[in-house]
Amino acid sequence: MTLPTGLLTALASAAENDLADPLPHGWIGTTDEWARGLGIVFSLLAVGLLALAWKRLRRGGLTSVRKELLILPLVVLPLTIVFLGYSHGIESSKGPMFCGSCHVMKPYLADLQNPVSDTLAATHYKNRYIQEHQCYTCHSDYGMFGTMQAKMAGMGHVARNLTGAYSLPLKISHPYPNVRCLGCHRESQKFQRSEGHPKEVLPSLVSGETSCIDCHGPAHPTMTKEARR
Amino acid sequence: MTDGAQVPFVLRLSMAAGILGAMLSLALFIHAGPYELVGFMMLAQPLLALAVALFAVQVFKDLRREGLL
Repeated sequence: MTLPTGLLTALASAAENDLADPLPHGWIGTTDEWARGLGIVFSLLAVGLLALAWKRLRRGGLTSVRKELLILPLVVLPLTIVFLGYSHGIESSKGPMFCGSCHVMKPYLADLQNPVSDTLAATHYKNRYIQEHQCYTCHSDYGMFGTMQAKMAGMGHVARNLTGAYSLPLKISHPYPNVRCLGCHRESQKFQRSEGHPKEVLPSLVSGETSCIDCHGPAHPTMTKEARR
Repeated sequence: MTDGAQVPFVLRLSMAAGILGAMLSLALFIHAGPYELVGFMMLAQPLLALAVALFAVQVFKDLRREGLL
């Protein structure tokens, strides 16, 4: 017995929905989704109002009423758009898909999401040790300045990607600091009581004298020629 | 500025900056990729700030001309 295509599609859709994360009661979306939606509305509104005003002003000059109305598209909306854009842009740039959108990063993203890979990054990803923002969590320091430094470095990466001013295979610009590992692992019992972390070694791990990556690496796969460019 | 007067250059510049800034921001909201983010940070934000600043300059000029400042 064969089922109609429409029914099969509906069943597949239902199965897909069953696998989706359950949403809490009264769910109205994330802050980022709201920032994005409002940003689109306000940007379109600003462009529309300014285009309309431009047309009207050219035809009929500037009346005092029109001048006052320009406060909306020339003061209120730009400030709102900057706020929403900054909020949405920074939040969006923390996801692994954002990092993986540059061609040169695709092998790293593929390894991260590979369930049979045993690199440190893939292990963290497949076991959900880091819930979200996986690249960003390990490649930025904590606090406000960590975010700012990561974003400034990101601007440099975009410029290098655009101009091709980089060499392969990619290398991390500074030695990987232990503080990024210890931010999560420092207080865990697994870290403190591990046979591999005897008490006499802990100070050198905390100070960064001994690198976590030396024993727990590689963090990412070593790029082969096939994976380049 | 009086009714039917020619639109001042500063105001036209402010409006042009506002339109460009809003369009670049729209690109970020539609697809938040690295280039869109850099475009927003490096171009859209300064353009929108310029739009606000030039509008404020025009308002300031008008107020001075009318003797209110």
